[in-house]
Formats: sequence, C-alpha cells, structure tokens
Amino acid sequence: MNYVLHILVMLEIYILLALSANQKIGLSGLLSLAQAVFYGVGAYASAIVITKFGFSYWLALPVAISACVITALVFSFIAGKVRELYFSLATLALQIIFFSVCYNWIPVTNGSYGISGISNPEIFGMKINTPLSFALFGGVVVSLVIVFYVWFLKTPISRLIQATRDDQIAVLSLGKNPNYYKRVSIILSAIIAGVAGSIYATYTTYIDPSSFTLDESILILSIVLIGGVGRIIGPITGAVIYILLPEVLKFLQMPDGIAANVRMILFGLLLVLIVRFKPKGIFGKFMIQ
Amino acid sequence: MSNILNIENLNKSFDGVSPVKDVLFAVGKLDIVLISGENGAGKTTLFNLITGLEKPTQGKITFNENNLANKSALQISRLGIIRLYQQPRLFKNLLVWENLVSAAHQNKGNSFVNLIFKHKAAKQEDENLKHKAIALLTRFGLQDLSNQTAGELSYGQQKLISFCMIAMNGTQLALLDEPFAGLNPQTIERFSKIILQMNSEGITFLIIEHNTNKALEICNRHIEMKDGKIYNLKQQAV
Amino acid sequence: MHLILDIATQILLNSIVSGLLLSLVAIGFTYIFRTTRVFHLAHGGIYVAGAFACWWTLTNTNNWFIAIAFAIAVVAILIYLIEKAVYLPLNKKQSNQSISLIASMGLYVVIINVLALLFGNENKIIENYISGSYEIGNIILTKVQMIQTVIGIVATATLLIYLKLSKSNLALQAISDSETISKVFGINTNNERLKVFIAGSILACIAAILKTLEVGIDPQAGMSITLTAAVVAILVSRMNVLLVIAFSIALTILQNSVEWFLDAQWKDGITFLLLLLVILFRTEGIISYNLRKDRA
Repeated sequence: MNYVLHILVMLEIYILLALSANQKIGLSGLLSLAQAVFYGVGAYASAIVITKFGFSYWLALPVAISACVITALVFSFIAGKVRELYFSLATLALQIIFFSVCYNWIPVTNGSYGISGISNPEIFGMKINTPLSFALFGGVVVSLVIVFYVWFLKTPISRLIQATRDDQIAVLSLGKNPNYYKRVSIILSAIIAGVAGSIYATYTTYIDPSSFTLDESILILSIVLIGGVGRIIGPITGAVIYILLPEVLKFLQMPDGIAANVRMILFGLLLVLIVRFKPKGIFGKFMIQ
Repeated sequence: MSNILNIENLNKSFDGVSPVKDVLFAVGKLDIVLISGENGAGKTTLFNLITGLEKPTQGKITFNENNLANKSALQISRLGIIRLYQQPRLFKNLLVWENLVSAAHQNKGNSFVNLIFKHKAAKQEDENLKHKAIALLTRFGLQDLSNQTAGELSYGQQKLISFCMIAMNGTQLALLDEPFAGLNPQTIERFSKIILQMNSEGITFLIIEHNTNKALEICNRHIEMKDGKIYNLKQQAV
Repeated sequence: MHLILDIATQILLNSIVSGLLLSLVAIGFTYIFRTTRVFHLAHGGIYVAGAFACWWTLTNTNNWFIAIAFAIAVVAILIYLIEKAVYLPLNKKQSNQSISLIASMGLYVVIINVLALLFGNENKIIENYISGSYEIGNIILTKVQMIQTVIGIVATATLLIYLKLSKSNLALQAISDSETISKVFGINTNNERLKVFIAGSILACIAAILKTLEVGIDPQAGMSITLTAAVVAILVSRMNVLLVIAFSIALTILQNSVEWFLDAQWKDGITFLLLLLVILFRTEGIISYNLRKDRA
C-alpha cells in the first residue's frame, strides 16, 4: 500500500512539472530544455533554508518561489532577445550551467554529496511524514493548480500569452508588449515547477544534483509533448504514462535493471513518433511550433 | 484639417542600397491614400519606417505632432498606428472572437495585476469586449465564423478577420499592405466597403496595392513610388 | 617557473590532441547543422554506437580491420535510416528547427538506452590496451595520443581533399543558403544531405574509436562531446573545416585550463556560459522584427 502511495506522490510531482512545462512550452510556445532548472531551484532553495537556517517548510516555500521568480526573470530576458531554436539552445546552456553550479558550488549546495536531513512539513502541529499524508498533501497542491488553470485558461491574459506564441509580431502591431506576456508565462511556469521541487525535497528528505540534469529536462519536455500541450488533460496524461509505464513493465515481469532502459526506449520512440505523425500529442490542442 | 502624418526628407540606406530616398508627403486626417509602384519601389520599407521596424538613416516622421524618431515599434503602435501585413497575421490557435478581443486596445484582463486586484471589473470588461467583437462580426456579416479556430479559415476569411481586428483596435492610422492580394472580386468589394465604413468611423488609411483600379475607387489620394522616390502625388475626388 | 611552463606546454599538447578529436565530431555536427538545419543531438548516439560496435567486434574477433569496418557500416546504416525515416520527412513537411531538435533528442534517448540494454552502463575498455609513451623534455606524449593525432590528421586531410576535388563544398554552401534555390539549380539536395550525414557520422565514429582507445566507452559519453561540438558549431557559424579545428582546439585549451587552474569541474559551466554569451550577442539568433529577414 505504501508503495502505491509513493507512486502517487511521484505522479503528483510529475503532474506539477508537466503543467509547468505546459505553461511555458504549450501556452507560450517557448521550447525550454531547462524545466529541471526551476524544479532544482525550488528543491535546493527549500533544502538550503530548511537545513541551514532551520526554516519551516511554510517559510521555505516563499523563499523557494522567490528564487524561482528571479530565475524566471533571467529566462524572460533571454526570451525577449532570442528566437526559436536559439532560445532552446540558450535554455540548454542555462540547464548545464545550473547543473555545474549545483555540482561545484560546494559551500552552498554540498556538491555531489547532496543535502540530507530535510525535515518534513508540519501543518497545524501534525507532521506530514508518511506516504499517505504526503499523497494527500500533494493531492491538495495538484488540485489547487488544476483549479487555477481551469480559471486561468479563460482569462484575457492567457489568450494574449497564446497570441504571443502564435504571432508575436501581430501582438506588437496591436500595441501590446510580447515580452510582458512571455515573462508572466515563464514566471508562472517557474513557480509551479519550483513548488514541485520543494515538495520533492521535503518528501525524499535528500536531494543531489543528479535529479536536476539535462536528462531530467528532456524527460519533462517529452512528458508534456507526448501527452499533448494546451489543455490540462494533456500534461496529466503524459505524467501518468511516464509514472505508470515502469509499473506496467513490472507487471509483465520485466526485471528491474532492464525495465529502466525499456521505459526510456519506449519514451524516446513515442516522442519521435509523436513528432513525426501526431505533433499535437495525445490530447493536445495544438502543435508545438 | 491638420495632418495626421508628416514625412520629411525620409531616407533609408544601407550596404550601398537605398530603398527609400527623399520621401516627402503628408497625410490628412481621414485620407485614404493609395501608394503604388513596382516591386522594390520602396513601399514596404516606407511602411517599416513608419511603424518603427526600421530606423531611417535620415529624415523625420511626425504622427499627430509626435516625432517618431526615437520611438520603438511598440511605442509607435501604442500611439495609434496599426499595420496589416500581406499575409494575414492572426492568432491561428485562438477562436475568431478571441482574436478580436485580443486586438482590443484596452482590456483590464490583459494585465496580471489587474486580473487579480480588479477582477470583477476585468471580467465585466472582457464580456463587454466579447459582445463588441460579435457585434462587429455581425455588422460585416461574419458572425458565423466567431467560434471557429482562426487557423481553419480560408485565406480571404483570414484577411477579413484581420481587418476586423483593426476595427476592434480602434486606432487612428491603418497601414494596409496589399489588402486585395489573392482575393476574388466579390471579397475585394466587401473589403472596400469595410474600409470605407471604418474610414467614416474615424480611421485614416495608407494602402499599398498593386490592384490600382480597385483601390482608386476608394482612395482620395494616390502616391506613386519608383526606385525609392515619390514621383507622382495626385489628389482626386472620389 | 620552469614547472609552470612545463605544465602549460603539457596542457597545450593534450588540448591539441583532444581538440583534434573534438573537431572530428564538430566538423560533422557543423556541416550537418548548416546544411540540413537539424540540430542533430542524436550525433552523440551515433558516436557511442560506433564505439560500441567497434569494441564488441574487437572483443569477439580481435581483428582491428573488421572491427573498424563493422563500426563504420553500423554507423552509416543507422544514420541512413534516421535521415530517411525521420529528418527528411520532417524537412519535407517544412517543420521548424525546434521540431527536428525534439525528434533528435528522442532518437538519442532510444539509441543510448538500446546500447545500455545490450552492453550495460559501465565503462568498457579495449583489452590489449596500448601503453607506453614518448618523452620530450618534461612533456609526455602517450602512444595513444600519437595514434589519435595521426589518424585525426589523416581523416581531416582526406575530408579536405575530398571537399576540394568534388563539387560538394559548393553544393553544401548553396543548400545552406537556400535549399529551394539549390534544387532549382539542379542540386540533388537529398543526396547531398545523405552524404553530409554519413560523412559526419563516420568522422564521429572514428573519433569515438580513438577516444575509446584512451578512456574506454560508456553509453553516456556521447552527449558531452556532442554538446561541446555544438558549441563549436555555433561559434564558428560557417562550414569551414580549418576554422572548426582551430576553434575546437581553442575551446579544449580553455576547458583544460579551467580544469587545471580552477581545480574544479567548472569546465562544462564555463563552456556553456560562453555559448550563452555567444547566442545573446551574435546577430544570428537575435530576434529580428525586420520582416524581409523574417519572410526569407
């Protein structure tokens, strides 16, 4: 039972990551190879203030969110200056730089040793330290984000974020600033991924740079492209596929060592197939441009 | 009647090429000006210079007494100049009514801050704009398109919708780049009527068009360009 | 004083050799990127596939000729399939570069995971390891480095001669400027694309085998060198073999200096910081609201 709950918590985290990727890549059309950076900033910021300054989770969360917002501003500056492929390459560079910082800035991040002993959150005196309580906690967060999106996708600003994706020059001609819409979108994306990171940090109580690599960013990107971008159901589907696939393989009695590789092979193949034949993804509303 | 646009000694040159040379003319309020000339005569560059996408090497452009020299493209479009491109520029993944509402000059809901802190007012304004959009579409006989995805429309329909976006935006000066290109005669008629309608509601037009015959039916002025220079300025009664 | 000079010269020597190997990968990547516009991250997959094909054949037959021939064959067939099944159809659909980038990432993931399944994730070395070195004063040049340098030079020289003798260089330049116009002038763009992919893949395969001689191979090894090659490709921004070699060596010198004098693993961070700055400040990637360029 605990195992199922553990899967549920990871699913919740990946749904958040997929939704954050949907915001930036789907709604804004900014193909980012660096979603794991926001994930990592959220995780590391939480971990550092909890372990080094004794902050509670609820104090750490705003710190993590602020760190993500600052990171987001760096990305938006670049988004305002560089187009399409070169934006993706710039995010690639940022991702690798981020990993390098996590790995080498030992006084702050402890490098490859990672940060351990991250305490669990407490709410109204009760500790959230069991798989069940984390699954519930995660569930609440995911529900809040989904409710947010149901509302947000009908607002004028989300229309303009998508308009900027579709034709930023037209947006400019109409007297509106495309960079503003990119910035809002990137900040939203960063905050959601950062929250996922902070949950991850307090759940596993130990983090190290290997969770926030280029591979992870590529994975998050694949999840949202396979599931489909635009609607909420797409990212959720992608996350479900990613998390449940190894369980299906286990059920088919595939040994663990092989299962990890098979999962990635299937994922990679799915990605290529989707790009080739169904660019909208499974449930997507539109194609990545 | 004061001039809405004043262009003096406008020059653009780079790398030994001069797409625009010594251009000088003024546009009066509510004029509909046709700019014609062969390909490469400098017409599109002229538009680029007015809208701020390119900076002049020399010369001065004044819009409603505002000097456009140091202004960015965004600032210029906010002052009240809007431009239609040859290929219709729409938001292909949004619905037609959403395209129009997005084109509106002001909408509280476009700003995140307003959305949160003035959210009742923002919601109201957005609804009003949606009604305005549908009313506009109805006026031009396009209401059936309102819930379609803009990317699925035909070329002619897309051009019509981008026109409506100008009307929603309510700006003062509209620069149209080959509005009649690729359209059948009936649609051209429709367009001409819409331009005249919008003109009567206060929009001044500068139109680049190869189909001079059709364009002259609605324009009251005609500027001919060749090799970057204006070589003929005509006034005519409509 | 002497010591620092020795260290610096050693770093320089090592960098020239490694840089030469890097340039084999970078030449392929640059030509592929400029001609086909694909940001071919799967190049890293091809790199390790070639190395593993060679290693496996060598372990089973102990024959270098067969091993190298097999590796080249594997790599050529693999890239042929990838081009025909994925890149060319995407090109026909006029997809943008981001789409082919994503497809390339997917292909990379598939290739290295298949290799991991077949061979495991650990580093594989070549038995009968070639050891021994030469000493010039206080500078050491290992036998492996000698082999790498010689073969590296032979490979690039062959490529340069081929480019000079055939019409390919001109054709590739034309395609990189405008594919449509090249077709109008009778250039068989499909063929040229294929040639570029295969040639680039063979060069990467050779580099991979040479590197395996030195440090062995594991499935993850391809990404790092491909990304560095990509940095070179963007820095150089044109299809010039000698420039690519020069920049590869220069970048390697930078990386090795950072590694040595900063005493940390910052070299990746510095390399990509450089890339970021180049992207931000080169006009090539800057958003241009100029419509003529936009339309082209």
